[in-house]
Formats: sequence, C-alpha cells, structure tokens
Amino acid sequence: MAEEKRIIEVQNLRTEFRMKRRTVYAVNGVSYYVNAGEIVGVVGESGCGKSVTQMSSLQLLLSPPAKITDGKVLFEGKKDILSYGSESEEIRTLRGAEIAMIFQEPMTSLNPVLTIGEQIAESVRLHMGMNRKQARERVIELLRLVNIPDPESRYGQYPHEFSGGMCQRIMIAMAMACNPKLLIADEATTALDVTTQAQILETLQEVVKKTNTALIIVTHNLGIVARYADRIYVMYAGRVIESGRAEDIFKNPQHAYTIGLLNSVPRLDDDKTRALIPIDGMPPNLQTESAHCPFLPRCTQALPECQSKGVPEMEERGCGHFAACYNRSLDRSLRISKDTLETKHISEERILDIRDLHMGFPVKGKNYGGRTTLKVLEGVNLYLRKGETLGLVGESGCGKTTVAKCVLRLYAPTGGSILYKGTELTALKEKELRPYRKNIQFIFQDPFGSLDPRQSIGDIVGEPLKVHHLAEGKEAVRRRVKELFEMVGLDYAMSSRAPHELSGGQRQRIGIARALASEPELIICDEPVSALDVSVQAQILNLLESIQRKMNLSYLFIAHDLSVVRHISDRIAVMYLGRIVEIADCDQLYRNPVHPYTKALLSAIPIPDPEVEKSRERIPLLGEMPSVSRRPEGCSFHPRCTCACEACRESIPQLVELKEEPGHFAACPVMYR
Amino acid sequence: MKDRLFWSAFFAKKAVIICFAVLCLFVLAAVFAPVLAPYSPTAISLAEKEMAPSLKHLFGTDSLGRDVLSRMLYGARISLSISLVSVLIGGFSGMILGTLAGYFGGVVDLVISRCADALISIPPIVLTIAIGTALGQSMLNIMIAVGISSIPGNIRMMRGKVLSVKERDFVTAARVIGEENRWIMLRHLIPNCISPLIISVAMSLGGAIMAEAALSFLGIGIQPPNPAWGTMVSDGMRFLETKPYLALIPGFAIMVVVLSFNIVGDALRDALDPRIRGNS
Amino acid sequence: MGKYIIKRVAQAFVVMFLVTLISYALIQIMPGDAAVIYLGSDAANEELLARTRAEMNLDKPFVVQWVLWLANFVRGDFGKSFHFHVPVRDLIMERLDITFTLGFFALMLSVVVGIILGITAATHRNGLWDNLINVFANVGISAPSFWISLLCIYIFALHFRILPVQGYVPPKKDLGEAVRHMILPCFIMALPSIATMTRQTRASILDVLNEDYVRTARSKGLKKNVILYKHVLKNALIPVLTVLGMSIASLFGGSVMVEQIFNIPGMGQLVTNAVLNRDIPIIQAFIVIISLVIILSALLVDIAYGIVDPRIRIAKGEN
Repeated sequence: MAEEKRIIEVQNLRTEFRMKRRTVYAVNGVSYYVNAGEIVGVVGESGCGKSVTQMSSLQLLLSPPAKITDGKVLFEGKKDILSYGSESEEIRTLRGAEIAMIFQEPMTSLNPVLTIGEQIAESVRLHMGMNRKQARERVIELLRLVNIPDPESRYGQYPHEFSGGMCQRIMIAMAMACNPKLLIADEATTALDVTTQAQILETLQEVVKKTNTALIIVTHNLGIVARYADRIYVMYAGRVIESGRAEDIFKNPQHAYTIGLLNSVPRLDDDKTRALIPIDGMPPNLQTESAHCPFLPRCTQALPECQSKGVPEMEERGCGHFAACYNRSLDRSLRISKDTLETKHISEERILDIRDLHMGFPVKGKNYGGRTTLKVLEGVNLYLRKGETLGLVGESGCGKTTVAKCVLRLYAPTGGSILYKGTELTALKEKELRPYRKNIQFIFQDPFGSLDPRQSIGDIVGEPLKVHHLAEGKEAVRRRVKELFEMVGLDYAMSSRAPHELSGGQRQRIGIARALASEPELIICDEPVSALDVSVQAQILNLLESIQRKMNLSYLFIAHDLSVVRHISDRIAVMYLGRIVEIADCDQLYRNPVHPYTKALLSAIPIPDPEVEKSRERIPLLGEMPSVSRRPEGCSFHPRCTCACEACRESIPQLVELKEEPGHFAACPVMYR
Repeated sequence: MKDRLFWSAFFAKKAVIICFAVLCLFVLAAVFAPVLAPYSPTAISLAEKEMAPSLKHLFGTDSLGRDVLSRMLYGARISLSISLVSVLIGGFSGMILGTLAGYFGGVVDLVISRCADALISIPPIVLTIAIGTALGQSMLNIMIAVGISSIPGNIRMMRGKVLSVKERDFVTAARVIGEENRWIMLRHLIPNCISPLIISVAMSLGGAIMAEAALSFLGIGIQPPNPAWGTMVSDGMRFLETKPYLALIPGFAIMVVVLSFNIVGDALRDALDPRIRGNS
Repeated sequence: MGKYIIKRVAQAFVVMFLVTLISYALIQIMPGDAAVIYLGSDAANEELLARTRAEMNLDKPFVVQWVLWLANFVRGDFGKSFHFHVPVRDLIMERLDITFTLGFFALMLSVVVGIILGITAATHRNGLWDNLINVFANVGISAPSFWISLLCIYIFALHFRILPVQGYVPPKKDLGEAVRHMILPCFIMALPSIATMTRQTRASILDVLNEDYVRTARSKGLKKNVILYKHVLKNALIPVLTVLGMSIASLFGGSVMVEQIFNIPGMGQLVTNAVLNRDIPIIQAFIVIISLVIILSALLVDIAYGIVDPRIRIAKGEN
C-alpha cells in the first residue's frame, strides 16, 4: 500500500539521567516506527519512560542530566537524526516543521508574555519563510481549523486569557502550523476535563486525518488509545513490552503486565460484579539495569524461566503483534468480586440530607469598590442513605468540591440546609460543630498535600484520637494507631516515617487511616484516586469498598471519572454549574441517561476496548463550560445542548422523578415530552 | 539517612567546607579571645606604636601601640555577640508579626504589612544609623538598631509562607478533624513555615556583622577604646599610604567572615530546600 | 490597569505617611530634650528653653507635633539644624544633586553590568565564566563598602596613581576631572547592587529555562538566541525588576558610606556629620527624601511589571 511509508523509525533507543549520586536508566532499548497517516498509541504508567522516549527522539531533553547513550532515529528512512547535535541547524529544521509536539500542560507550555498569534506565527515565519502578513493569515486559518471562535480578535490575546482546553487547541494549531509529517501528543489531554478531552482528541483526529499526518498519542489512559489508536506500544520500566494492532492488544494481550493493567481499571461498561485486580508492588526505580523481566517482582503469572533467563526479547505472537513475555499461556480471565455479591446494608435512614444548598463567594466587582457574589452553588438537593455510596460527578468548576466543603463547614453556606441525621449543620457554631467533626470525615485528592510534612505518619493518624480524646494515654493511642494501620493494609513498623518517604498509594492509605481514626459514619472522598496511577487506583478503590462493608460507612464520592464512580457507587448525581442535573441508581443512569449533559459525559469517556468503541455513539458537546460568573439564564446547559428549546432558555428546570423509573430524577424539560 | 543526605548536600562544594572552617575559627576566636590574645586589647604602649608585623606583634601595632592581633580577637567577640543578638531580635519579632499577619489577614495584616513596607523603604543602613543616633551609642542599642532593620524582611517572608501553607490540604485536614486555631498555628503552621526564616536568619548574620562594622567605621558604633573591626579600619585609614595593613587586615577579616556566612547560608538553604537548589 | 495604578498610588501614600511617622518618632525615642540639644550651652536659660520648646512644638502631644511637622515638611520647611542653626532645607538642597547624580550613574551601572553578567553566567552555566562571575558576585555582596573603597584607593590612587584619592569636582568646572573623581565612588556604590542583580538575573534565567514554554519553543525549532532573547529574557527579567526596586534602597544607603570616605559633599556626608552631632532634623529630612525616592521607584517598578507582564496588565485592569 502507498500508505506504508515510514515516517519515523526508532531503533534501540537508550536514555539515561545522570545525576550527582545516581543514574536513572529511563529508556532501555526502545524501538518503534510510525507510518504516514497512522495513529499510534504509546501507553504506560507514570515513570515508564514514554514521554522521555518521545523527547529523546527530538533531543528536547536538557543535557545534562539527560544523555542519549544508544540508538538511532531515522526520519523518512534517511539519516539518523540523533547524529545531529541537539541544537544543530539540521535538527532545528526538522523540529516544528516536520515533527511537531504537543505537551501535557497547555497553560504552562505557552509563553505567558507573548501573544498566542505571535507564538504560532514565529514558527510559520521561520519554517515556511512567510512574511508577517502571510503568517498572520496562516495563523488565523489554523486557529479556525482547531475550532477557536473569532480567531481574528483572539490573535492578539495572551495565553492566560484562554481556558486550558483552548490553550491546548492553540498548541495543536502551533504544532500543525507548518504541516508536519508527524505530530506527537504527549499526555496532551491529561490535564483537561473529560468532555474537553474528547473534544480535543476529536479535533486532533480530524486534523491529522484531513492532512494525512502521522500521530503518536502518548498517554496513561487505556481508553484513549482504544478509541483512537491504530497501533499500540505498551511500555513498562523504560521498555516496550508489547506492541501490535489496537484490536489485538485489547482482545488478546500477550504480556502479563498488559493483562494486569486491563484488569485493574474500571470500565464504564463493567458488570457491577467485576472485581478490580490491582497490580501489587511498585514499578522498579530504574536505578539499576535489571537482569530479568522488569515486571517479574509484581508478576502473578511468572514462570521459572522468568527467573533463570535474562530480560525477555520481543517475539512475534501473531500478525504484527509482539510481546516480551516468557509465559505463553497467560490467564486473561476477569474475576468476580465476592464482596460485591454480598449485599450491602443500605438502610432507608438518611444520614445526610442537603436541601436547596446555595453557596456564594464575594468577589471584587468591575466597578470601583463594588462587590458581587460569585454564585457557585445554586440550589443543590441530594441525600445519602446510611451505608450507601453516592457518586457526585461533574467537570472541574461545577462546584462538587464546594458541596463537600459546605458539608464539612469549611465554608459557611449562604443558603439552604444540610441535615446530618436530622441535625441542621449550617446553624451550628464552630464549638458546637466539634462533636460532629468526628462523625464526618474527608479524604483528599492530593495524598501528599494533605499530610503535614513535619509529622510522622503515626502522629498524623493519631491526631484525631488526641483532638477528640478517643484514646487516653500513650499506650492506648499506640494500640489504636496500630489497629488503624492494619486496617488500611500498612505495616505499623513504618509509623515513624515522614510522608515523603512513602509512595502515593501508601500516602493515600494514611489519609484513609486518619479519616477512620475517629470512627466516622460518613466519609466524603474528594477525587481520592485521581492523583494515583491506574494500578494503584484499584488498590485504593478495593480498600474503600472493603472498609465500607466492615464499618457500615456512607460515602459521598466525588470524582470526574465516571468509570471509577460507576464502579464504586450505588447512586450517582451529575452536577453542572452548581446544580444537580440528574440523579439515579448507578445502572439506571448508565442504561438510560436522560439529561443531555449526562449523555455527553458518558459518551466522552473512552472504554478500553476498540471493538466497543467502534460501535459507540459519540455525542458532541458545543463549546465549553462557562465559568459560574457567566452562568446562562434558564437551564445553565442550554447553550451547549443540541436539543434545547424555548423553555430551556427561560426557566430553570427542576429535578423531576421519571414515571417509569422510580428514584431516577432529572432536570430537563425535554424529557417531559 | 536523612541527616546524611543533608550533610552531604551541605558540604557538596569545597568552598562551603572552607567557609565553614572559617566560621568555626571565628567563633573559637570570639569565645577564647581572653586566652588566645597575647596582649590586652586596650593596653596603650606609645613606645611600641605603629610597629610593622613581626613575631612579637603578629599583625603589628596601631598608632597607640596596641597589639592589632589582640584587638582583632576581642573585636570578633563583639561582632559575634552583636550579630547573634540582633539577628535573634529581628527573627523572633519577624516570626511573630509575620505569622499574625498571614494567619489573621484583614486589618491585622493591613497594619503590619504597611508598617513593614514603610520600614523597607528606608535603606537599612540609614534606618540603623537613625535608630542608633536616636537611642544613643551603647552595645544594646546597636543590637536593637541592627535587629529592627531586619524585621520587615522577616515579616514579609513569614507572612508569605504562612499564607501559602494556610491553603495547603493538611491545614484543611486539621480543621476537618476539629483542631483549634491555636493548635493549628503551633503544630502545623509554624513548624512548616519556620525553615525559610531560620535560613534567612542564618544568612543575615553576615549582614548584621557588616552593619555593625559600618556603624563603627562611621564612629557611631562601638566606642573607643573598645576594639571593633569597623573602628580599626577607620583608625587605620589615616595610615593607608604608609601602613596599609592597619586598615586592610581588619577589613579583610570582616569580608572573609561575612562571605563565609553568606556562602554557608546559601549552602544551608540549598541543602534544606531542594526545590530551590537549581539556583546555585 | 488604571485601577491597578490608582490602588498602588494610594498604597504608596499610606506607606509614605508611615515613613514620616517613623522618622518623626526618632525625636521621641531620643533620650533627652530636643530643645536642649538645639540650644546647647544656652539651654541653661530657662525662658529661652521654654520659648524654643514652644517654637519646636515640643509642648504639644506627639500626634499634634507630628501633624504640624508634616505640614511644615510638605511646605518645604524641614526645620532648623540643631548643629548649624540654619534651615535644613538649604543644607540639603545644596547637596541633593550630587547624591542623585552619583546614585543615578551607580544605578545605571548596576542594571547594565548586573544583567550582562547574569546572562553571561547563566549561558555559561558551571563553566569558567560562571564561576568567575559567581566569585565576583559573592565578594560584591560580602565585602564592606568601606573596605573595598580603601582597597581601591590604595591600589588605584596610591599605588598606581591613576585616579584621585578623594574629593569632588563639579562637572561644570572640569568635566574630565569630574568623571575621574566619580569613577571609584560610583563603582563602589554600585557594587552590591551589581552583585545582587547578577545573581538574580542568573537564577531567574535558569528558572525560566526549565519552564514548559521554553521546551515548546525548542520543539518549534527556534534558534538558541531567539529562545534566549525573545522567550526567556522577557520572563526572566520580571523578578529582576523586584530586585531593581530593592537595589535603589541599598544604593542610596551606600551613598552615606561612600560620600564619607571619598569626601564628597553630598547628602550622605551631611548625614554622617549630623549623626555625630545628633542633628536629628537633618536625619529626618534625609530619611523622608530618600524614602520618597525609593517608594516612587517601587511604584514605577510595579507599573513596569504591569507593562512587561500581560497577566497583571489584563487581570488587574479588567477585574
């Protein structure tokens, strides 16, 4: 086929970081290729060397400390571009012109003191030899290509005047500016919300298909590669451990790690009974060159030869499907969770009842001295039954964390009521609130930031005991802390360590232990796993589920990742711009979403299965979520809704129970019809 | 293990080892001046005036025949005590005021911050001179004057740090647990904010020595016949053409000590705070 | 932007107000009676003392004294020198331009030399130039200016005899001589600022080099110099501006010492003599004038911030 033209071929690439006291072998002999017009996915957990590999091929890493020690990078089958110096004329004419790159943090990847137009135009002028006027026209054309509204007037604006999603579109425009043959998107959508992520990736796919550009998508998200990639490379510990066509990798994975990864992530289309199987242990630190398969210490399917032989080589397992694993008969079956089969004890008693909650923050107005209120919550209604998990989902800025902070009375709500077992919390003074503090606890998103770096982890867990006088005397505190450590699966011998000596997963366990110390009945979990690697996420989710059963806890589980929420929740509430738009039982919501926003949200989440992805309906969303200061009149969602009617623009729809599905509420007038 | 990492980071450069040794010598000289000094620092012997360095008088004698070495040893004592006390005055007041401003915000912050701004817009040496003049010349007054001029910087630093740490999740966590404000400040805020202050206080030791020397040089610091390095430089100035060492040796000593404090302070900062290590 | 400037100007006013309060408070904390110091041996005359006290408003409450003093000050009446018994205003006006000329050239010197050295050090990171500049900057920060002055006088004036030892020649009289007399004082006044500017420029360039947008610029294939001067420097100089504001304060502080050593009849020398005579009105006037200059330059720096950094220009202006 004519399309089988190699754009880039990387052979046996090795990169090290040489620090003062240690050397990190970040990339250990990676080989891959990309053909013209192809979309290739590179997946792996953080620290597996996937980004370093891409940066090495363009020699973008700062040297020192980075050093490329071996390998070849052939561009269009011609000369090895690694032989050019990192600042040579030859490589500079390739960068930006032939190979372009998009990075993870769109906000920090654009220069804050230059206009976005200038930043795109400078590479057009440099590589395409255009004059200022031509360059400006080209830039405006590019901005239009990536769907930036009103490109002429936005040309002269600065990066901070754009949202994260818009900045990423600008980065795409910049990357596409000189019609490159290869585009590398390095975790380009990780920092963005799911619907924005879907929009950006759709734009990217559209643009590269239109121009027949090859695209490398580097990501940790299995769903994204399943949805967009033609071929996939799976990386672990600085090596490619499996590669092949997307369908083959997901349907018939040939490496124990790939299987482990697939079994550890929750899927949106999961059966409720599916158990997540975490990959125990941690990835190697890459400071020594491993003599065996790097996955061996964590592998549950290892054979004796994994121990006796050296590092496995990539071998062909099917047409174009390669894997580096000695075990040829891997177990790929999914497990059924015993826990989920036991029914939970959900009573009808409402442990938490939030009614018409309003929260506004005073902000300085546009006029001199004038103050306006930023209305973040506009009448939130939800309740939580004892023993239940309620998932609260929505994109960043929708106010879900504000709900949590109101319940914890970190904010004083400006209206509405919060009933905890019938007690009105909003009326209580700080002192009267103290007894309730031990009953309502919080688990933070950032496991590191929520632990005082100056305290030992034992002291951190013991702190609530001292504050609420739950254990008297040193010995009693020690015994209880030990109990809590064991409950969250940590060794008490670690108790004198400082938080920074722990891994992310261990830190989150400490956060959970601290929350459990005062024997609460309600725990609010604010994105508890989103800062963790996928294999660790499963550990924490399983832990949360098992302690819920043991202690009959109720969870308010806040997250943006619907597949995680679906896995753990009994009911789900969807939030948009400070209001609940839909609440339903987990299965109802997934089977029969009513609100257009819920539909769009569900369709934006990729499922790690290319076959399922092919048949899925994609519901595009118009534009971006506005900030709460510019909340549209009527239904806040109407400007982005494809089926909005006159009524949506005029009145605020109320949550109404669906006749055919009791317990399923939605706030959309369209469904009445 | 943590300690070993700290010390190896601290002594990573040869210059730091040398400067650390210089400081040790300086402190030893200050502490053991009475034992080490061959002569009394104030004993006048006109018969032996303006002698060049020799075995008898290692650094020579000044215009009144006093032994320069002995005067320098006692001068170290004065420099060290003034700088230590003044830096502690500045550091402690800065910590208290800065924490209050950062934690309570509002009017408290407004008053404290604007006062700090006002103090910062007077050049430190002018402020020190002015306070020193107004209070009159005594060792304690010099300590106070030098100390006050370092307060505003410390307030700003502490306030900034408290403001950022206040927003961290672990402070929220403490509130969720139900801890009281006082407890949060003492257990969480101050321990997490204090290290930049300690570093800045350590680094300002050199500055304090320099300020004291400048005051003495101008004749408004330590009064004769007490030996201060700054006074010795200004006394020696008259003989710059004929006996340059009279002025240059004590001046050189000031520079070496201040330089050592600065370099050791830098190393301390780098070793304690790896995030800003990239700067040096 | 306009609103931002108004806010900063208001703030500067408050700070200026506090400075006058602090400098007036000097009289209060001074042990002994100001009138007694003013009159010297004449203070024995009870009637004269009482009249002088009334003239100096010392019989009124502190706040009233301050307000009256401030009102006079705004009108240009800085009080009478305790020592010379002539208006402080006349004494200062004679010397103002000398100090400001010296300060201005020292400032220019420190900006130009500091930034150039900083860029050189950053681009030759850990190389020979970097190390040399680093040593120079460390010495510049640590060496007492009086000592460096003496060393320079010894080397350049006494040993090589290429520059005059001390003194001041008005430029109108002999420009060449004036410049020759200014070289050493100017350099010595600028030295600490050069050193801090160098260190700050170097540190902030190295910080910016690690920013994501520099990686973006590299991935676009831009030339090294384009990246340095277009993308890095504009961002790196933003924190340098802050240091510049602080440098102005230390420059004028340095004038006290340098004018004394080089026998330059500027404000600094006047102040040193005032200190020895406990001539508080001169010190007060000096503090207020110098602080005014420093507060104004801090204001300019903040406005310059707004011009250089669009984040401030737009955020502070529109919201």
